[in-house]
Formats: sequence, structure tokens, C-alpha cells
Amino acid sequence: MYILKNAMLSIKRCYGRSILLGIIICIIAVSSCISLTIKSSSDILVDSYIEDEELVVSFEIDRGKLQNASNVDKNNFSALDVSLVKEIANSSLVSDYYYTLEVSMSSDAIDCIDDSFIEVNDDDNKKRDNNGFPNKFSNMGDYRFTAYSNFSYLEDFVNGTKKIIEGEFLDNDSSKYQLIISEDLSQKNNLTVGDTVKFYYPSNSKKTYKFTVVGIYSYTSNNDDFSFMPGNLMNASNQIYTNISSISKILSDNPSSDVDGFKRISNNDGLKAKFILSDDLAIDQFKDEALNKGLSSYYSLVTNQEEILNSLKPIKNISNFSLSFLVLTLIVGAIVIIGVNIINIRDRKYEIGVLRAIGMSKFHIILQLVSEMFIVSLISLVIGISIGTLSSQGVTNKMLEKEISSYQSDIQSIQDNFGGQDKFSFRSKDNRNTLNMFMNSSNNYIDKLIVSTDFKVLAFVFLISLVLTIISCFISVSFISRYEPNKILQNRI
Amino acid sequence: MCILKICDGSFSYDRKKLILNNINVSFKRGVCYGIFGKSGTGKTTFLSLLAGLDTLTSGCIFYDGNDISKMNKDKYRSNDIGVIFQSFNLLPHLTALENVLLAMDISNNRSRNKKQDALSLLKKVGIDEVKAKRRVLHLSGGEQQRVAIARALSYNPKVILADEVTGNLDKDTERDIVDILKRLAHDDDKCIIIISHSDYVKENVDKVLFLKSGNLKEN
Ligand SMILES: Nc1ncnc2c1ncn2[C@@H]1O[C@H](COP(=O)(O)OP(=O)(O)OP(=O)(O)O)[C@@H](O)[C@H]1O
Ligand SMILES: [Mg+2]
Repeated sequence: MYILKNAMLSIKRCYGRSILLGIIICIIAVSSCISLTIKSSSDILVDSYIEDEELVVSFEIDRGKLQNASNVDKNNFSALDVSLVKEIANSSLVSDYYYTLEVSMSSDAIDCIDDSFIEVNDDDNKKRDNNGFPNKFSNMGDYRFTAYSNFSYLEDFVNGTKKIIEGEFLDNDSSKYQLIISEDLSQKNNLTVGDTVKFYYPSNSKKTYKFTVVGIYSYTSNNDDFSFMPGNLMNASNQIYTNISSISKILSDNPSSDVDGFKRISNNDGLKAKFILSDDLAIDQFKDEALNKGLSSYYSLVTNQEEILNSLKPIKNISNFSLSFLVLTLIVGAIVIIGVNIINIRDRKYEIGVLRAIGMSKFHIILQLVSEMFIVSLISLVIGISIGTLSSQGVTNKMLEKEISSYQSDIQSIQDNFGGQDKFSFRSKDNRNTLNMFMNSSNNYIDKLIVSTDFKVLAFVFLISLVLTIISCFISVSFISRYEPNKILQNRI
Repeated sequence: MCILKICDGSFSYDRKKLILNNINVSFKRGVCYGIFGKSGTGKTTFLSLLAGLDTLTSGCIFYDGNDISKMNKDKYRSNDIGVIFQSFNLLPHLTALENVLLAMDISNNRSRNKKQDALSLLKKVGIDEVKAKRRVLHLSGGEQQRVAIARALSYNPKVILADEVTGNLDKDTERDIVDILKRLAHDDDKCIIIISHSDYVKENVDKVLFLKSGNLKEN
């Protein structure tokens, strides 16, 4: 009991060294608190992101494999078509799907935009299509007609690159020939909403299709992706969106007469299908299912898994960085604490010598020094952890606040992009999903996230400091054991 | 009654030059001894051997019939023997009172009013309550010496070793201190061993011993 009393006295009277030790422990506690909170919050974010991120699967023709196939096989090859897409989508593994149809068209009634070096800004379909273009280069038409089975997957409108500025969006349920055109195209040809334009399939100029302009979109490029493919088709201003029924009609009116396998493929190349799987682990099962339903084995499966992992890289980097920062803090902190303790004990050689000379046992002296360290560590830990918790909470809150408000403005503007309609249930993709989750369960979720992390962090920091204190205590013990009272006293005189 | 006894005691710091050479001497309770000798002859060394702070190179020291090398040294120092060091060896961050109380605590003194005992003890050696509550660093050399004496007496040991106990004191105080120590020997049946250069001490102790070339001799 008197040992504890003496320890307190010693801390009080020699507060200089206690404060030094306390500040060091405080700093270690604060920085490990912050880095641990950042680490665990980012880990939770990564986990929820992976859990929520949709696994998107599509099928692409393995052209190399098909090229090497025998002629019989080539002839037997059947390309993916809309009915097969629907059949494949009809599976418990698929939570949602969409497909796009694309066809290039020509028109004598209007002029296309034809400056040669133009920025291409469209969804990734177009970029992938580049491989296929040389085949139909000679007769490709000027306008790219694209239709989405579910327009809420039309990325350009979701992310605001494109925006309806006049009229309204397309209606997939309508059997009319509808289209929306770019601002540039409408200005060049003096087209307004309600006007009709005749288009024809490039290889069949006799049959024309009368389309009604239902909307005009503007587009702002925020991406520096240049295409070096010449041709009007690649000009983003010549991009026309239409409904599925129109393209289906055009495609069925113009079946490929060619027996050659490649021509047939390119004819159906306008079809792209994406399947959103409900279970990340079901990829192989899904592929088997699709093959059983009649998908040609010349298709290979493409997923966005890598993309998901790539998009997680920055947050994972933060997590890793904070972990290394934590380890560094602890190593440096441990060295400093041990060093300070050793210096403290060397400084107190005389005191230890006196205590030994008046008969205090080594064990009791060690007990006193250890309790001093524990008291100082405990107090500075409480202070350090409180500071660390408060500041890390502030930092995390601020981070999330920013993300949430940017999300809120997003939702509003997505509706604006589609011409103010909310007939599509907006699907959130990419990192919006995680935020969506935050939003749906309101801010409570954030609070819970932080609080639960803090509790874990608190226990961890506490444990670490305890270990550090114990280590330095052992070192002090080994020092004290070497001291003989007479030697210490004689050295001092 | 023989409380301390040294048999064939020899000691050397460097295993070459013997500072103490084959000493045979015994100390009794109720007697106040004075050990004299030129500076550097090994008086403090002899005292630290008696206090169990160092061990003889050869020979034995018996306390109350027990070989102290086989005793628990901590308990021996904290209960059986009181040492007033030549350089006081007080704890500078504590007050005079706290220094005395600490020694009492270490000796496992279970008395209820330790504080009162300590204060009256300090008063006895001339430290009033105001000074008792001052840190020892803020006391004069002579006052520090008295605190050291009070500390040595605080746990009521049977043997008290006093090294240069009157070196920092004026004649009157020296007289007081020697008086106190003598009374402890005569009234409380303690064994007092004073190391000194002072003539007053030489004239007033019960028995005078000289340390010369490693040997303790009477007269
Ligand atoms: N730790 C040590 N190592 C080696 N030699 C020592 C040590 N301590 C003391 N000595 C030597 O031993 C001798 C005796 O020293 P000691 O302190 O016992 O003398 P002393 O009689 O008390 O002198 P004084 O009257 O000046 O206090 C001295 O010559 C001293 O130099
Ligand atoms: Mg001496």
C-alpha cells in the first residue's frame, strides 16, 4: 500500500519526467487511434462495397477461337440473339439484365456532323465495338442508333455527360419510331421536337423508316478519350438513341444474306447483353447454365470483377497506408518509451540506491516503478484516446458528409438528365451503392459505424500501450536487478 | 550480550590491497562505541560491511548469533540496523517527514499514528513541524543530518551505525546528538557505533576503537 502512495508522491513531485512520458504515450495513443479508425472504417467501406457491388457479366465472341474453327463449325455457329438473352436472364442467378441494340443508319434528309477529329464520349460499348468496325467499313452509314432495353443503364445520362434539354426521353413500350438526337445535329438540320426524319439501312436505301424526334440532348464531355477512327459514325454528335422496337424492326427487315460466319456475327454484333448476378460466386454456374440454354461455346465470359477491385484500390491504399503508419508509430513509440524509461531509471539510480540501503526490497522497488509507469500510462492513455477518438470521428464525419451531399445532388440531377422524368427506377452503380446504403438507413448507420469502430480501436490501443508498458517494465527490472545499493551510493558521492 | 561480531573479517575492493585485514571484534548492546582513524583508512567501508551493504572478502559477521550473509539483507537493513550515512542519503523529492515515514513503512511498522511518532522523533533531533514538511533539499546540511538520524531511529533498530554524524554540526548540537545516541545506548539498550574525528565524541563514548592499517585496536 505504501508503495502505491510512494509512487503517487514520486509522480507528483517529479512531474517533469511523468509529463514527458505522458506526452509520448499521448501522441502514440492519438496517432494509433486515428490510423486505426481510418483503417477500420475503410475496411468496413471496402467490405460493404464488395458486398453491394453488382457483378456484371457479358459474353463476347472469342474471335481467335472461331477463326481457327473448321468451316462446319463456323457454319453451325449461332450468334447471341435477343430471345437467347432473355432466356439466359431467366435464372435465379440473375438479379437484373439489360441489352443494347445498335445499328448504323443513313439518311438523305439531314446532314450529319462530320468534322474528322472528334472526341468520342459514350459508354464503353462503343469502344469495344472498334474491333468489329473494319468489316463493315465500306458501307457503314453515318448515324449510330442505339437502344437500351433498360434506359436506366444508359451511363451517359446517369452520370450527366448527356442531358435532355428539350422534349422527353424515349419510351421502350412504344411501337413508334422514336429517337432523341444531339443538340449539334438538331441545330445543323433545324430539327425540333416533333419533327420526323427518314432513315434507311446503309445497304438498302430503298426502304426508309420515318422517325419522330421526341427529345434533344446536350452533351458535355468530361473525358479525354479520343478516337482516331475516321468516319461520321464515330462522331458523338451523330449518336442517336432510339427504342428497342425500332431497331428490332430494322434488323429483322435486313437479315444477313451472307452465309459466311463473320458477316452473320457482325450483323448481330449490334446486340450486347449484360447480366447482373446476384451472387459473386455463381459465375461458373451461370456460364454452364447459359451454355445449356444454347449459348455457343465460341463466346467467352467477361466480368467487371477486376474493375471492382481496381475501383477499390484507392480506399484499400488508405487502409494499407494507415496500417503501416500505425506499425511505424508503434515501433518508434516503443523505442522512445523504452528509451525514456531507461533514462528515467538511470536518473533514479541514486533514489533506488537509497531505497535499497534503507532496506526496500528489489521486488518492492520494481513494483513502485511499474505502478508509476502504469499510472502515468493510464492517465495519458485516457487523454490520448479521447483526443484521438474525437479527432478521428471529426475527420471521418467530414469525409462522409461530403460524399453524402454529393450523392444527394446526384439523385436530383440524374432525374434532370432524363428530362425530369422519374419513370426509371434509378439504379445506383459503382460507389453510389455504398452511399445508397448509407442514405437508406440514414445517418444512424454512420454513427453506428464510427462508434463500433471506436470501441474496437479503444480496446486495441489500450492493449498495445499495455504491452508497451509491460515491455519497458521488464527492461527496467533487468536494469534494477543489476544495481547494488553500495555501488550506486558510492558512485554518486 | 554480544549483538554484532566480526570473525576474521577481511575486505578489499580490488582484490589486491586489503582495506580490512583479519578483524576480530564484537559489539555489545547498551554500549556506545566510537571508531576513529585517519581519513581513507576504511571506516565507512567497515560500516557498510556491518550494514550488509557490502560483503566481506573473507570471514563472517554475526548479528545476534546469525551469519548476516545468510540472512535476508533487506529485512536486516530495514529492521535490525539503522544507518546514518556520511552523506545522509535522503530522498530529495520527499519532505523530511516523508523520508522518515518511508523508512517506517519499509520496516513494516504497523503503528496507527506513524505520523505523530515521526513528528515527535524529528522534534527530538531538533526539526520542528514546519521544517519537517519541507523538502529535504531546502534544509541545511545540519538539518539534513538530523533528518537522517531521525530516519535511522524511526524503526527502532537494535544497532545504530553513525558515520561522521556530527561533522556538520556546531559544538552545542554535536553535544545534543551524542547525548541522544548515548541515551539510546544506556536507556534503550541499543548498540551504538559512531564514526568520528571529533575529540568531543572521543571523550564521551563508552568505548574507543582505532582503525589503523586494516586493523581495529582498542586505545
Ligand atoms: N568503491 C570503491 N572502490 C575502490 N576503492 C574504494 C571504494 N570505496 C572506497 N575506496 C577506498 O577505500 C579506502 C577506504 O575508504 P573509506 O571511505 O572507507 O574511508 P573512510 O575511513 O571512511 O574515510 P573518511 O574519514 O574520509 O570518510 C579509501 O582509500 C578509498 O579510496
Ligand atoms: Mg567515511
